[in-house]
Amino acid sequence: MFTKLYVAHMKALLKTRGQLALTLLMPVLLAIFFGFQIKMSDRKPDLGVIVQSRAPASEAFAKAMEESRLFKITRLGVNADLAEALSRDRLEAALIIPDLSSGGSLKLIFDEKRPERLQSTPPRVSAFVQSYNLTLANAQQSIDFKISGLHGPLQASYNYLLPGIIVFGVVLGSMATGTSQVAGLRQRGVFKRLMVTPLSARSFFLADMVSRGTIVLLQVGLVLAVGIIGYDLERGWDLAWIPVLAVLGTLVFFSIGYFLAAATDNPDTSAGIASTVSFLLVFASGALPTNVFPAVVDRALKYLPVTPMVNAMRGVVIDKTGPFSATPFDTAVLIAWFVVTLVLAVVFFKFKEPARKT
Amino acid sequence: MQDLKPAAVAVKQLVKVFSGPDKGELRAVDDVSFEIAQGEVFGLLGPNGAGKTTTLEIVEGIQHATSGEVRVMGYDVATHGKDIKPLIGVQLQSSAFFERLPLDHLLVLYGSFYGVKADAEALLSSVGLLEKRSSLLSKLSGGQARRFSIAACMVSDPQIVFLDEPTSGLDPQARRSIWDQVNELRSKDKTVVLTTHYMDEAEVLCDRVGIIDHGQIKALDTPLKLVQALDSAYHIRFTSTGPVPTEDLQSLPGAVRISSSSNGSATRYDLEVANPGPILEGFTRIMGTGLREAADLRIEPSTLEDVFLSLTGRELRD
Repeated sequence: MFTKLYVAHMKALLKTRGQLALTLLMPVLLAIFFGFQIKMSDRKPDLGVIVQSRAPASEAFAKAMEESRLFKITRLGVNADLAEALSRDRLEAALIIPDLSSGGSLKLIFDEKRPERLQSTPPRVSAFVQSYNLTLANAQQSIDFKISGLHGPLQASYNYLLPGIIVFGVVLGSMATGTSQVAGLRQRGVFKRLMVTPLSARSFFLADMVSRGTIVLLQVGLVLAVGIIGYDLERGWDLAWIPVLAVLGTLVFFSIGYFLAAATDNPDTSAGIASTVSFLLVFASGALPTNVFPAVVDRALKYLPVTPMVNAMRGVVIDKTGPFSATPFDTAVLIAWFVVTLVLAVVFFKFKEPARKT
Repeated sequence: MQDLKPAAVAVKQLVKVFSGPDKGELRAVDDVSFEIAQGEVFGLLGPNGAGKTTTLEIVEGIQHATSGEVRVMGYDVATHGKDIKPLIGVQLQSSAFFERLPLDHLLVLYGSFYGVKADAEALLSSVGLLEKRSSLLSKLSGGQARRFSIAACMVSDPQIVFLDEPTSGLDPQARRSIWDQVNELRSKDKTVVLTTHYMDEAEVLCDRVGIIDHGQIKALDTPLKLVQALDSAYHIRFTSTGPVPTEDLQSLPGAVRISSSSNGSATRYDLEVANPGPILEGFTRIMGTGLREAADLRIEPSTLEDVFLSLTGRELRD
């Protein structure tokens, strides 16, 4: 029985060519693409360095870093504005070198709102420090280093997790599952049945969007509750912005899902496409290294909707201001996505399917 | 006095062409014209792939015509789809509904699409499903699901009801139950348009039938007149254990054709004739010569199935 069932499943899978192509080719293409980019890229992490002491040990360490082939060092002044320095250019982190002759620790500082910029810097710094300690040959005290966020020690870590968790839930709940459900309804003939009633496709679309928005609000409530009850979610920011941004994101991803579902009449293919698009969007938000790409591609990826949504939420929970004041550009991009995707979904979504039955 | 009521459905020179890169051009509906009067039960008969569902779906507004004109209660389907939808109830081949809702909720939901508060209990009761009102569609048998889909297309009390192969795949009891539903609709003066490939169904239910094949209407009339128009209105069927001179039978006046099938020990004959009266004397004489025995002798009138086969042929279709 199992063998027959297995063969039947394999036949079904092989006949769903769209999904098969996506399933097999996408990981291969991504592996080839990333492998090529990483192989071709000898780019060193851009590291800002602040030497706080003129002590010979500190200067020697800074000089050794500059001479190493591991980093591209930018010297910053002692009084440099770190937040400003980390937000401009492509500095991934800043290393503060104290008076090493008196046993101080190095401090690697990054912008918590843009963790994707950190990329490979900590392991490189760690490797360099270990190597450097060996050259000291017990002559001095070993050097150690700590990683810190721009806004202080990473104590309220749930604040940094919160935007990512909510965005993941929104993408999953509104686009990834929604797309295949919509295609499934079409395949089962539900839309055909609705077509012969006075119900318009637009009404159906809006009702579905609102219902998914409701689920997302429940989801956001649960995530916030877990943070407040279990993880000392740091407050002091306007809680109302999170559901507002989550709903805005839902509308964007839901509309993308409907647009994708309108383009395919097979739930399996739709699911594959939705999964791939979800992956690309999450990847583009910084879950995977994007700085291996040329700067223009890296920058373009940031305009995909996940990134502005994450940034807008980070503006709320980390900067503790509204999204329009903390991240006005990201918020504007998110709203633009909402308008464009909503129009696309409303224009292209139809109850109809291609039919040849006679 | 002239009847001023518009035809429930008026189809004029309807053409539907499908084209695809791999299959070329398919003329699924080819210059089809017919009218259905209000209160009439009209059947579209045809083999699989004949074009009946496509024709019906164009009338319902699900598909667009390539050319031609379709009017429903006087409204042009191409331009007045919104006006037509409240007037029609459509039962599709697939029983496609939202899966997670019980039957009574589904009917209320569908009623809301028409802006009416559906009386779910009355509708379910009319199709004998009141005790199933809290069940999910997936828990119903095929016949029950089909009856529910008829109830669902009645939520808005439509003037025209479209039933696309309503009894396809059902057992005899379930079929008879659906027939009762159709007769119930007839008694309420509803116009019923149905497709089927069951000849007995069309003969019993329909005031008129149109036989469609290769996208064209081959014949359209009442079942009785269609049968009467056949050149062989009767069948003389019998079984013989000995050889029968079929050439002699075929040469009898009024004999149209003869066919036979053998099971080894006996042969079953079917002699199609225009009128059995004048032929019986000659038939008895031929069978008496050589003392042949004609067992199970029956004289039966032709049916709609004979009309159908004479118009569409006997070869199997996909």
